[in-house]
Amino acid sequence: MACPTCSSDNPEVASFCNRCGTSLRAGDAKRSASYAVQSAEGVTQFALISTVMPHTSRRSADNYRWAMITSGVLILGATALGLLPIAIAAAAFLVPLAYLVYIDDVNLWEEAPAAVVVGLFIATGALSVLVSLFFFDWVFDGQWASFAGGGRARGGIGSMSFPALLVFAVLLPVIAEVVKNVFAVLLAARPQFDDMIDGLTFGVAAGTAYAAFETVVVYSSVFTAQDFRTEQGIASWMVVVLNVMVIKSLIYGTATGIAVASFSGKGEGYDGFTPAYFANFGLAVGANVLYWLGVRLMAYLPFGNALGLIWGFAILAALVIKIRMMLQAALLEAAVEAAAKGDGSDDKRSTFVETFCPECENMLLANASFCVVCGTSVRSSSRQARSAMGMSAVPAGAPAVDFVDPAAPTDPTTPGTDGGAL
Amino acid sequence: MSTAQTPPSTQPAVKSSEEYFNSGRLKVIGLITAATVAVGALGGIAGIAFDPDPVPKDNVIQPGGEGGTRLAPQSLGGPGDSAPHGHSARSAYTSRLPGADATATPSSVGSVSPGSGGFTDAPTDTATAEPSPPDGGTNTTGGSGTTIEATGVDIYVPPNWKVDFQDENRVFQSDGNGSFSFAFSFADDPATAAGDIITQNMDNLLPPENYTQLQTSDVVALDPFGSVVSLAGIEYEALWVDNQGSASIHGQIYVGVRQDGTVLGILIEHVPAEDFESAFEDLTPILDNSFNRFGGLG
Repeated sequence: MACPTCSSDNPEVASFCNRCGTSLRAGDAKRSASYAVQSAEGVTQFALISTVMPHTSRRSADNYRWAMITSGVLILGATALGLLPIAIAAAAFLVPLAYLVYIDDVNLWEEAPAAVVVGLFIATGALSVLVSLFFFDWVFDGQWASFAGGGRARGGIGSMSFPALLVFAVLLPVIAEVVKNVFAVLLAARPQFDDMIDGLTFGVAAGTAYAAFETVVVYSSVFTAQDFRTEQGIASWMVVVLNVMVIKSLIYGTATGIAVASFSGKGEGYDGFTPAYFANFGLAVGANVLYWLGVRLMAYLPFGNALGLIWGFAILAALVIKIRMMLQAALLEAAVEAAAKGDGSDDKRSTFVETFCPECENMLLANASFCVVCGTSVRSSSRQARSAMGMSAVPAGAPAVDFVDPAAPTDPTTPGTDGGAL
Repeated sequence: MSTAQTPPSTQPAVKSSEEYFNSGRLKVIGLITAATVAVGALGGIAGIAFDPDPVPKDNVIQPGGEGGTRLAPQSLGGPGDSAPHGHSARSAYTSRLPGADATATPSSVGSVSPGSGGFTDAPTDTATAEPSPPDGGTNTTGGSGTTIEATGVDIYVPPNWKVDFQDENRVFQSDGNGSFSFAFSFADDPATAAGDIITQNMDNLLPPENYTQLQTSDVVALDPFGSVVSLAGIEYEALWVDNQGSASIHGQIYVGVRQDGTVLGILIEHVPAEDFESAFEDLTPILDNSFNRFGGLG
């Protein structure tokens, strides 16, 4: 049958167009219930792993989920024991470390040397340390100290220094966002990494690296405290460690990811410094400013740290939804444009041989950009998956595959039809 | 939509999706967990390696009179047994436990002599400025003073310091370089012990949510002077924390009770803790000048 959007020929059993990803199911024209990166999820679903690690499949995403849960429990355990130097260091680097493993796992850098992989983290981290020292130790240390000296029992929010608020909740996030973008944009401008998903990945990597090194600087007093172990204020530190480990790291990462993804753009070749990039850069800055303004102001309220954590979670949720909507639109629109331009035989983002969907493991058609069964975008497949793809081409529209309905009951002994759920 | 169709004769075996990734489940979980533990261990090593020299805890002085006289070093114990109180004009910081000061080892102090009759910018200097009337919380500079409305107690504001916040019971001032002073005053029973007021209001003055790893000295009973009938001080060090960062803090709290029942408390502190010694000389004029005036020596 012909796709109503791009007129591409599809098997009669197809649920999604193999070229443009349009849903061929009745009443689902907008595909809001099927995220093109991971089709089992809705577009507006708050799913962290598949958002910040878009090259994972549902099965491999579970690996990261469990790894981070395991590590997170260990970190919170160390916090509960009052071992703050251990907890802060591990919490700061949990997400960046997981991301390094992810980048290697999906072979994002292909044949690039490992030094390049680590380079993005080290270079962004080095700049992060410099910026953090500049703001917290070298120039604005007095303003920073005013947040400590003007505790809520002293004068409440009335004792807050407005210049200090501007410096640490407005100026610093602006400078930091520029720094986070520098190396990520340089990498996204390389021709082999011009996909929006690549830009997103570099942005998230740079953002989380910045967050990790900044955390080490701003919590350096933990490492130099008189006591290695504390028995007081554990509840406060649990909240702080949770914030450092998850909220701050991912807000920095997702915000920068949005900016760098728009630098890459939706089609072939990177878009560069377009108005869309600056708009999304502004959005990234705005998210960081909102986050820190909220944290600073709520610090003067009872349970201020916990309120700040909740506030950060709300910001993070908005950023995650923004990324998912952005990627969904980009993947679908780019595919429609590519389909409109030709038959897709020379589209490097399409399959060129017979292969299998990493998500549902049904067969992908030749020259396909989407799985016709689950609707997952080929572009969201890992490069490892692409290099492992199949043998001979199957002409589009050829009724040659036993398509499996992922919603239908399946034989658990059949490999690859369980969706990878743990 | 499970329409069966004819499979191609050359269809390869379906690959496991794990083949599309470099690492298997155990490897991913193991790598991330091991790396996290390794980084945590590095943090632990840093926590041991970067222990600073202890900040001396012998800075408690005898405010009023000649001022600036340091008392004997005080051992730092656990946090004070404190209970939160409200912030109303009358009941805030009010102790309900009459009796002697909750002291441990009252220390010898320097001699107390009448003050010079006004605020000074150093403990031994002569008066340089008269306290100004309440300014409604606006910034004040130039070694002057401001008055706590509820009790009429004057608080010294050193040169280059500014009042960041003021209401009818409280004055908060800072120098912009990490030094802070918080003064409070209210009316209470003249028999109330200054040490009890400190002990029972530690949570108000040093909120446990932010002041972690709190170490305090014992409450030290100081020699009353002038119209002050009870005077006490305590020294503390803490690791201040919130969601944006942490900082070490070192400070002292002094509370005096006058014979008319008026209470004056002054908290001085500095960030970071290791610089408290060097900042101390800039903080003592606030104590001396304010308590001198409070005790009727000014």
